[in-house]
Amino acid sequence: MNENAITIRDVTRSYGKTPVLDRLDLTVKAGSIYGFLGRNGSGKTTTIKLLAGLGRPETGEISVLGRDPWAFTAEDRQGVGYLSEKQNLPPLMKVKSLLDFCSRLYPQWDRELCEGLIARFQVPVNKRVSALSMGNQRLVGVILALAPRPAVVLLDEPAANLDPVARREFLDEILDLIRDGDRTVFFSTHILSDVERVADEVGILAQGKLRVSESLDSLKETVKRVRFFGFPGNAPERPPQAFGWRVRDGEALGTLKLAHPGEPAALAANWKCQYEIIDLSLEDIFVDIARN
Amino acid sequence: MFIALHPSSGVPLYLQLLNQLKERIASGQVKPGEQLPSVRELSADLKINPLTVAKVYQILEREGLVETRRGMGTFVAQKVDTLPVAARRQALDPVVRQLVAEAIHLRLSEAEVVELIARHFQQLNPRNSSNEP
Amino acid sequence: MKTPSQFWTLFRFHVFASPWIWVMPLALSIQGFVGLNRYYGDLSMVFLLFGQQMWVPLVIAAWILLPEFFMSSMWMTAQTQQQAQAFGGEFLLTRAVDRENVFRCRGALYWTIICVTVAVWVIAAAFKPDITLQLNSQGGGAAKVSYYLDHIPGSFVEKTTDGGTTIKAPTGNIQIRVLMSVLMVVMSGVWLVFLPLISRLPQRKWIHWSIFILGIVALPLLSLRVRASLEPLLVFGLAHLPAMVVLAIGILLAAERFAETRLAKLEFM
Repeated sequence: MNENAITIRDVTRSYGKTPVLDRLDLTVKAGSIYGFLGRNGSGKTTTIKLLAGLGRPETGEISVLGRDPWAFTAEDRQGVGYLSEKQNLPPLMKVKSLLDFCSRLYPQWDRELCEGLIARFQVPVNKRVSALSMGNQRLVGVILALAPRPAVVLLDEPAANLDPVARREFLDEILDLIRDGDRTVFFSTHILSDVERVADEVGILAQGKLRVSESLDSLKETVKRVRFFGFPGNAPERPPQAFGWRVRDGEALGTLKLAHPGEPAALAANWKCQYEIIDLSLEDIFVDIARN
Repeated sequence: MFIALHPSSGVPLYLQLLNQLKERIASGQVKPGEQLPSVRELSADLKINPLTVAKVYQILEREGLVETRRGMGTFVAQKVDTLPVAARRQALDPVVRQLVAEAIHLRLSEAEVVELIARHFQQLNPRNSSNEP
Repeated sequence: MKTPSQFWTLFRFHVFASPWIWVMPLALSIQGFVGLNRYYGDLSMVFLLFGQQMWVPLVIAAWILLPEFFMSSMWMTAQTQQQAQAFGGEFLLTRAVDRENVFRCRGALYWTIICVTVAVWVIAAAFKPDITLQLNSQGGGAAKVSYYLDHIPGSFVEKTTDGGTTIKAPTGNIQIRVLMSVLMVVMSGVWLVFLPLISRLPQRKWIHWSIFILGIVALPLLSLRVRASLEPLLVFGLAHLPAMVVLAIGILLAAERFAETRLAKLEFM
């Protein structure tokens, strides 16, 4: 297997006349859980649909498990699970028949896992899909994506419409899947605490480009809010490595991407001021980057 | 092993886990030679990414706090002082510096700080604290 | 997974995913029971009965092959939206299937519905197989009589009254309906080609909808207006029925091939 499960290189794509992705580059290492973040309309869904082979990029190349998703055969698709952002399951089918239909398409469909997930999520299998709550429909979609034990799972807003308990169970399931071997999970979400719990890599999409793509730990360690104070004169202009920069009452508050831990000290020495470092949660980091 | 983690805090998850494990080893809650849960078990237990646990174990091993016996698992190391004294001192230096700065702000005397430290040694490590100079 | 078994799994899915699609052939085939057995002057009444239905396959085709075509429309109720979603492309095309296979399967379902419909037409005609055509002496006169006798296989003059001639064809009704079936299949093929040509997802261009609606509205009107001038074609068709059937099958296959390759290249963004 390739070292990268997903590679997006120089991809541009518009939706109608609106440009969405602008020369996007993104790689996801095999075996990682990648949390894909961005504001509404930033192009997350477009990216995931391209990865699922539902469309073609206008420029650039995409590869999932070493294949071009647009040219996926049934065989290639065995290895790629997908959950759409929209609830698009056939509404008139019973959950049981739907599961049965899908199990026939996948030779390596894991019946045991499927039963386990049904029991765990408490999905009523004898009802029609349209009779289920939105949350349960979502869980059926999750089961359909996970039960074939694909090597790559693409999940677009999987936790939407799930209550906190179901969400926790779902996250556990994702973790179990990863523990199980060389699998890759790529998921988008608005619920940042989910990302903090399970993801090891994080990407933040804004204005069609990937602003950040790195391990969550190093993101938390290198993106800090720093308060500079006690300037001899006026507070300085925004330095290039800052995402946000506010000046008030002779103090400056900036969100900095630190190249090394000593950087705030160096900056402060340069400006002849004092400084204080504040840890940021992923949500703080996301807001600062996405707003900029 | 009950460990409380706060994913949405600004402190990276691995660092939270690392600090808590270090504290338990230092305080003797987990004794030398005792086996730690496997990466799989601990990640399933804490409901976090196994890579995070693996990373913490790697750091602990590098710092000589635990040792991995092939095919058996991870154990708390018998001897913790694998690093030379100078290196261990240096590792503690920034924390102490921060502590001292804080103490100055709070107008605490050196003696008061030393006393506080002694108390914590007493709490975490009651048997050995008397041996400390 | 081997392609044939994948095909049948998909086919079964489509058959059961939305039972409502089977209402359409039922509604269409009702025509089979209200056929005519008596014609006056010429046979153009046939177009009045069948012509209006020639646009129906367009709706069926869009419904089965590309329900997304309807999804973005404003005049869709939640109920119809649900029907359309039953065959939603996004769900199916991201399962372990080959794209062409999905559309071949949908094409097969479409043709099954069309063929069931026309089969009912022909079978219903077998219960009343004959037709009577009454010609009056004005106009073509004798020339018209021999025209019909020459072109409709098995026809003969039953009686001549002072005013005109009555022609009887013992299997005429079956022949007419076979010919209408041919026409239905040809039109179905035309719509099947038409559909991928006007579709691009996401569906935004109003022009696609206008062509679609125009097709639905214009065709029944057209069949009312020009039925008299189309009558010679009908008679020609009756005279060459086997060739027409072969032609229809040819068009069916070609249209299906075209549609499945074109639709497989459609994006579902």
